[in-house]
Amino acid sequence: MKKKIVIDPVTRIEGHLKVEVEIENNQVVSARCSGMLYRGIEKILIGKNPEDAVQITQRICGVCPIAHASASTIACEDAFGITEKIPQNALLVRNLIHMSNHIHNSILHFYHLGILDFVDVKKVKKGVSSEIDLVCKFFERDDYSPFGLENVDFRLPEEINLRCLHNYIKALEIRRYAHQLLSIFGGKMPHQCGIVPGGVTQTVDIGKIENAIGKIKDIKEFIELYYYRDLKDISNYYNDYFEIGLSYGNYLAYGAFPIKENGIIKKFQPSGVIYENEKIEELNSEEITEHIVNSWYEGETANPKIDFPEVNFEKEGYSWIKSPRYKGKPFEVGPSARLIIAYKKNVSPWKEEIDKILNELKIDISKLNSVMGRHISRFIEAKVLINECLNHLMKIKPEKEFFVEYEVPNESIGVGLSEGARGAVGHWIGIKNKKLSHYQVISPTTWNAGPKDKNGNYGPLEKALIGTKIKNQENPVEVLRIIRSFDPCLACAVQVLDSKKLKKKEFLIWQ
Amino acid sequence: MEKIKVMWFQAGGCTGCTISLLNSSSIKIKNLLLDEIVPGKIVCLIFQPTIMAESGEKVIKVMKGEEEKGDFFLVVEGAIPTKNNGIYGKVGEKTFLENILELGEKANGVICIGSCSSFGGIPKGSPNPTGCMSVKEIFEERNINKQVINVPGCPPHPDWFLGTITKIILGQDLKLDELNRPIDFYGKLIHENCPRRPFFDKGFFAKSLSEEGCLYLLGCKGPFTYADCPLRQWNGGTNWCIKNNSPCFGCTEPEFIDKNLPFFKRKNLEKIGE
Repeated sequence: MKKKIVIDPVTRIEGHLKVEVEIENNQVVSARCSGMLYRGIEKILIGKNPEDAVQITQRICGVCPIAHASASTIACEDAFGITEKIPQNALLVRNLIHMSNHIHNSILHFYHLGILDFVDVKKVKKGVSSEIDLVCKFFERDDYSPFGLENVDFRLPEEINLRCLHNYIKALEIRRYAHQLLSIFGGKMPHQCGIVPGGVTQTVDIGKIENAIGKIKDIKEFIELYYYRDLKDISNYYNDYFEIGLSYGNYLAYGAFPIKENGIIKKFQPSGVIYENEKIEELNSEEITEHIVNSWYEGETANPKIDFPEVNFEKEGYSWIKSPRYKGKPFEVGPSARLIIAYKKNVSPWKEEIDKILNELKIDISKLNSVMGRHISRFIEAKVLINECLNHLMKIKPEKEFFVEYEVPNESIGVGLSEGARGAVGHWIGIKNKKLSHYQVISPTTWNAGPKDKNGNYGPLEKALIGTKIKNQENPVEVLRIIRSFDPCLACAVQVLDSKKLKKKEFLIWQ
Repeated sequence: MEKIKVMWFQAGGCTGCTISLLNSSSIKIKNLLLDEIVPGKIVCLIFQPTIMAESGEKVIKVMKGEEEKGDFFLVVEGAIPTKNNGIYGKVGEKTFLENILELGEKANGVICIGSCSSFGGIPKGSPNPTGCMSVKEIFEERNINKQVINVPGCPPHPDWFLGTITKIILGQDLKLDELNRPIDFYGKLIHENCPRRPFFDKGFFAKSLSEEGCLYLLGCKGPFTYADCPLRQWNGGTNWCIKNNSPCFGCTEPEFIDKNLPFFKRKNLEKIGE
């Protein structure tokens, strides 16, 4: 007999997510993810000045605003025809802002969103460290939140468990340093003000460089010593999670961190597309469409360049999330996708660093497609990027320009492709009478958590859930571990909402 | 031990306020979560979706259980969609609107963190697709008489929130301005304390982001915006918008965003005399 489990809300993610799975013979046989919030930010953008979109779209997500600032800026510059004119200093400073945001997210995700699925916070004792003592006192007071998972297959030996918990608290501070590093160049965080079409607002003097080096050193030490050791131990004791939560093996990345080399703009992290773990090709953004056959919008498919699908309450369907597809196929985006693409394309320093970690963990590249693989990918990114921050700093030439003037054209279109911590972010804009006439955002979480497409293919997250063995149906921790490995960001999946209609149709789908 | 129970409800927002709170470098987040803020008094965060361990029905049960018991402060992050009975945002099978009304009724008071819950913020931007409203507007519309403290900002500085909480814990008199903002943090205009004020007074204005000078002609909202950013600065005193050569966007004001747009152009020159 089939049993349906509904998890609402899924916590320790960004935003409002409801997940339903159907279980038969202790195995997930179908899955459905629903976003629970709609704000319509794209509608708000119409008629506004193009450069204001950089600020407004950041507010799509307070965890990864830089991805949207970056995509929006690139789209504006594409539309203004100034992409090639952006000074090298501006690219370097933007990348520093962008990289710090990825680093913050890796630490936040592993320690504060993810680790409580693997570490038993209730196994604490006094006298280990002042941080652990705080937790002991916390439990003595019998407070509930934010801790306290029960009936979960926790496996870490006491010593490692305590160390991870100690580092959970330590990481609160280190993540804050990553935001401080960002705000040296971005003014403040969340929602920075440094990145603007034309460059960056502020020049960089030696005081900023010195301040940044100090922060980088602290973060780097934590990542390379503590984060690595905790991740390695957790992946060792939970190594079955290299076989759990596999998606299609289709990966897509837009690439990020453009810098000029000999006058040509090149991305530090490459773009690319991989089919079924094997076939690799260059990305062509013209091949991206959104499937809306199972989403409550007018039509079957939409082209982000020109279409602005209107809501249709009467239509058959089962979700408000749109499903982006590349050449009609579903693709996973995010850290694992980016690393596998960089690896297969032999891009330095990614290839070397990935090989090193894979050898130490005794796994091969295909294992990055799993729950544990996604955690490992996030770590590798943090490690490579914190080192690259230093390289970027050294390339800044304070005496040269950081900003170029531009004219907003009367009429134009633009595309901005970038990477958020959670994966590929694309902004498609249109300008008429110097104002925004079109705005479509395709965010990473729609790639990963969208509904079935018109060919009947599940979204990658749904696909990763199906087939999973559930040990304890009262507490399906496997399901939560899989969901969190994708680091879903529901605020980013802008065009999603729940409606009363959902309730009636639910039973048809779940037969 | 006196417990000050806090229930943190996320509505139509971006989680930026939560992340900003994690950035606190005065009372650190570990102190807030685990420690006594002052001897004998602790803040007990009984519900916070971004960091709490459990999921699903269990956390809704906790929320409902504490709601029954009462004696808690409700913190609201995000605006509340009201169009079509608020179907645009739901948690635990109920709309945000229903949740806010139920929790608000039982709460000792409501603290709105961020401009979305305080004034409507970004989601309320024209054409306000989901009919977003602030908590205060919703309560007023329904004649709910409950103390609402607004801590706006997009996001607010962590000190503004933690300072407000600390004042409540210490039992000090919390003076609010006409928009229900604590005057300790929102008592003066950005313009009054701006380090670029001498440029303004001498009429030395930047006309491009690459120039030095007062940013007023580039769209700076500092002359109309109440907040202490110039003194406090952001991210542990690292930087802030105008120090980073960016105009102030006026994110602590109800005018954010519609009346404060465009962010990067000159507007409302006549307002300066007010």
